[in-house]
Amino acid sequence: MLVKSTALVSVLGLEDIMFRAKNAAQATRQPFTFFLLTAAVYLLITTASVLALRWFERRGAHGATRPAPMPAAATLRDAT
Amino acid sequence: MNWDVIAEHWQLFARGVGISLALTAGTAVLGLLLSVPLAFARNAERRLLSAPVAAFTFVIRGTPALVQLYLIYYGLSQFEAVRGSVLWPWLSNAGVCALLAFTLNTTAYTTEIFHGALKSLPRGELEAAMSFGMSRWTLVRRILTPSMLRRALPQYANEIIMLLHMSSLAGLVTLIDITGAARYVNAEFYLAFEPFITAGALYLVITLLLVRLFAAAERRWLVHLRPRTP
Repeated sequence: MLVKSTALVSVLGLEDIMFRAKNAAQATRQPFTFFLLTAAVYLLITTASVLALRWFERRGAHGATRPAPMPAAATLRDAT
Repeated sequence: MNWDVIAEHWQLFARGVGISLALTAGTAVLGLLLSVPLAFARNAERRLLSAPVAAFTFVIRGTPALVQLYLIYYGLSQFEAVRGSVLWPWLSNAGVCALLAFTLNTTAYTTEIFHGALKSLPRGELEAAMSFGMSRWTLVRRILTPSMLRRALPQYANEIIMLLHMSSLAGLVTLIDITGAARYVNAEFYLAFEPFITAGALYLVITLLLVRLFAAAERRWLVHLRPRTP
């Protein structure tokens, strides 16, 4: 959530990826290309942070006993 | 401090509130209609059905709403085919683009919320319905969807509030919503504090009203899940 909020600083003129992308889009008249590139960079960052968090979570949970799985998970496959 | 300028422009802010509310409401309705079937698809056992939806929510949730809005509003004009198409009058309209971008964004988040609610439904509800001999479609319509929507309510309320705040991005693509009105006054009169405090206060009031509304909805539809008080 936080990483994506940082895109807002470009509105204030801070020279982050979004700001650079806007300039490049204007200069080259290829806004789609550059904003798509920006989106890809953000996706890379969020994916990396999700993976890192998952790793920490698994590390932190090491040794903790897992509660028995809840008898839930209602899905359509049960109905058929 | 110069609050007279704000008072003189109350109509601008009033229209801004109208546009912000219209954008939020329009997006919320479209997003709700799209997320319910998508949540079921996301929960499907067949990978062919669930994987594309999972990929969609991953990409949308992994990129900033501002980038998505710019891609649609500024980005699409790059293509000759889009500019020449019959859809261009709509796609060059900032309101339509904002609605499209916000709908895409909230659909991804709401789909995940509903998917989570669907996964956490107690098995008993399903078994009871099945023992009545309900068909698959009846089960989805009468049991799974209502139960999913009820359980998702607290998180969904939060999503709608985030959606209202996301709609402030519309002020960046020439729309005069609440933020747009504040930006106009800011640029025209070189006042920074007063217009943005006003905008913030307006968003706060709308948020409080939304919180009230959803609290009432939870009292109405989630009463059976509340912890019992003696």
